[in-house]
Amino acid sequence: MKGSTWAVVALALVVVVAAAGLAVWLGMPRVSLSVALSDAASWQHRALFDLQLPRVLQGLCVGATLSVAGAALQGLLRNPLADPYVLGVSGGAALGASATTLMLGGLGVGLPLVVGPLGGFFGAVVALAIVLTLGAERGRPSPLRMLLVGVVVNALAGAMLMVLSAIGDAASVQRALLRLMGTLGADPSQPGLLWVVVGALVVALAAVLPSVRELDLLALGDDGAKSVGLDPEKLRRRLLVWLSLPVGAVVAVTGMIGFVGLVVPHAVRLVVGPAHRRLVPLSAAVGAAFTVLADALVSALAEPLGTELPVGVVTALVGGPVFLVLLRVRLTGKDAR
Amino acid sequence: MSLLPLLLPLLLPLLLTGGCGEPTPSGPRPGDGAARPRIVSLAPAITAILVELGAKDHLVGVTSWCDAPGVAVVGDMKPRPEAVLAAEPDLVVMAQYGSQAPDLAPLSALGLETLSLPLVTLDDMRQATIRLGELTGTDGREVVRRFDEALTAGQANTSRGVRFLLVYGLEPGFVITTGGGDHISELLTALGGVNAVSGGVTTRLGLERVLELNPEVIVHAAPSPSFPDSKAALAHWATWRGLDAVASGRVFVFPRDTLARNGPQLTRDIAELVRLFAAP
Amino acid sequence: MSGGGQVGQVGQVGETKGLIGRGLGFSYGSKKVFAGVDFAARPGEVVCLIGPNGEGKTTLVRVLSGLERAGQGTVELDGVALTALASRERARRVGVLLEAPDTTFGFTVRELVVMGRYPHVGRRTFESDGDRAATRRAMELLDLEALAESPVFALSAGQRQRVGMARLVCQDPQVFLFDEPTSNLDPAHAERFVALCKDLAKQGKACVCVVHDLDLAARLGDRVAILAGGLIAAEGAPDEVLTPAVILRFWGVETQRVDALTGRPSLIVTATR
Repeated sequence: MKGSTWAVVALALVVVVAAAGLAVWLGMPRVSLSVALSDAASWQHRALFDLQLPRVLQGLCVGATLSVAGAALQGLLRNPLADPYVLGVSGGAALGASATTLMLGGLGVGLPLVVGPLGGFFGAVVALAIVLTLGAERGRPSPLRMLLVGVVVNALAGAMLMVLSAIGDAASVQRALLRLMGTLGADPSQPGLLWVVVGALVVALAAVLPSVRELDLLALGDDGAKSVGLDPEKLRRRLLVWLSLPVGAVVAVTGMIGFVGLVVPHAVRLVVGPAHRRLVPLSAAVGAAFTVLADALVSALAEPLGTELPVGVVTALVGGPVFLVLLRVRLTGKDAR
Repeated sequence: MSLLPLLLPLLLPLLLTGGCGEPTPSGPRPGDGAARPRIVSLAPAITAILVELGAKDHLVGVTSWCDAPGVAVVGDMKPRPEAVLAAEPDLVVMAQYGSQAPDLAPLSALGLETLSLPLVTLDDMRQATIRLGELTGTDGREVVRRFDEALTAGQANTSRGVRFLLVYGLEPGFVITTGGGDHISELLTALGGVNAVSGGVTTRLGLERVLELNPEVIVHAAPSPSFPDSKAALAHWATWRGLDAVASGRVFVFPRDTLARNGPQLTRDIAELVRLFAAP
Repeated sequence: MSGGGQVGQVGQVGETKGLIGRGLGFSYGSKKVFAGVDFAARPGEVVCLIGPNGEGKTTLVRVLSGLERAGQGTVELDGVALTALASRERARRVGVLLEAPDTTFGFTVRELVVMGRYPHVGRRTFESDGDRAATRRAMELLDLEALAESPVFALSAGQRQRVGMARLVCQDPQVFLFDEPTSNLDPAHAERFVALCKDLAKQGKACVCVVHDLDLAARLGDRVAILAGGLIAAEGAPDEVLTPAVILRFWGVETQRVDALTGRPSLIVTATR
């Protein structure tokens, strides 16, 4: 189904709007929509406008950002296992956010909770710097080396997070664990964090969309791409930096929601093919839809289960098996000569 | 389409469990006719205080850890804001636990009146009882007076200086205890005991250290699946030789789980605690 | 036959037409690959670069195409230094095929071939009708029309190699550089490639091919150059260069040369030393 680019963009918009609507409607068990819309003084009104709508918006932006970053990273590194966290960005962001809140919290000062996301930014940038430096082979970034260094950075960051949990107090431990699995409950007392997430999506799209053709060119191989006049190393450096910031921001605000950035681009490729000008917009839409519906399921299950699952649990439970299925399909296609 | 396996597993359970709620169903709901101010309590201790004050009819929401039969449960100690909103409280009360601190601001931002009370020491409990009494029009001072009366009476009947180890839980190789600063330890100290452990509020103690400290009495704060009564606890501790408490048979499991809540219901526990410290 | 570092008439002052490398030297760290290499590929001719394995032929091609910078020496195209050109400007004039396209994702043959238009189109516009026509022509030339919508991971190595060639043809530079173009091709497609190169030469392009098959080099090249021992050891018309004595000296194999069959020297390996 390789339609024209504009047809794909139209499809993307339809998917997003439909998913958002479904998520709002299905994610509010116990809250009557008619009351919420008619009676502005009711608690249902507050639940809809102060809790549910920001939450859905946050889910849409986070899902879209992660999917766009995942699609771009898979193309940049020419590796189907790449996801937005692969270059140590997630570990760095999670560690940065936890470390700053722990350290500064230990000083006994009442902190504005923007400290967490700022620490996350800082951690993401540090991790990226490490990966870019150590991942260079003879002075230029080598995709395979960067992936390996990224895996190690993530593992080290995870270990350090565990150390912090051991020495920190129970509250911080719980926050750290939630950060590892990802939650989407938008905090109504911090509307600024929502804008951070929206901004992250804007940055990710602004970084990737103008480069969709160049991302395609990498399929010629690094030498082939150079032959047609692309500088693959410059492209990688630029996109990696400009993608670490939004991914780091998202991790700092909502934690590591997994599988979205990994699975969604693969599923979308099977529908519209690998050309990035169709892949990226539709991945953004499908990622947004997937995330927001997973979160709606979290809300719907909250009462029967008695607790709110981290949304990362749902995305993993669905995304994991789907990824295995997609791999099988791709392998079959590859062997069919 | 490959997108279906991605989205269907979410849509199907969603359509089954989700969906915006119906408009107010007919018939009484829990919380109807509750006294004003309608209170949601987010801490078991707060709930205990309100129940002891006779103000249970103010409660429209409690946590799954609280002990208030007939009152709607809004969630665990970090409930979804929607559930708290749905109870339509006039006031949300929580204890000043570190884990709950981040939950205060979101509830305020939703327009709810919130109150956070410290509840670590017995004095905190006294203040909280009086405060909540004022808010609900009940006599908090009377409840506190009864507690203090029982405490004084208890103090008259115990021996002094008994070294105790308060056990919150056992992990392989470790005891979870406190070095003072919590209400149970304070209560036991007030009744004449001496905490064998000193230090922070939550301490993990290696078992060799317990041998070193060699307390005279070992008290489990509540029954648990592995230690449902004192006999089971004694059988376990007896595997450690050289403990005075074992030799004298002074290993006890407090028979109720009411000690954990820092509330006036402790009044009824004092007599039991006195028996623990009585001379063998 | 000239030898010892000199290639044809490169040394002449005022010689500017074509891709000309002068005094090229390259080292990986302290390991010297080659030094003092002069190389020319002029419009309308096919040059075959041959030599024993591992002597730096691919490296030389990378330097000549602008993908790598030489440690010493210059590469000029029509008198302009390659390093002075912007990437896409250079790509419009010099194109190289070093590897077949990547198979990680399933781009179709058509999508890969049209990427050759990038230096002409850039990122801002979608392809024009002219670009699509060029793509079709390139696929025709390389016998790929039937595979146009096939994903690249479903192709054989030879088919992928042809996709790479089609991309380069689509790119339509002045100078074509091929690194081992026929290594995976069957005889039929190898012959088509020879015809393609000669055709390009007739159109006034310059072609440089790194090959291992000496027989192929003899048929394909208007000139051959032997890169051995870190320099151009021999250079000239195949007739002159590819004698059994030379081949024995650089490759250590005994050959018989039969000139009568095609008008060009045909080489048959008879024994190894």
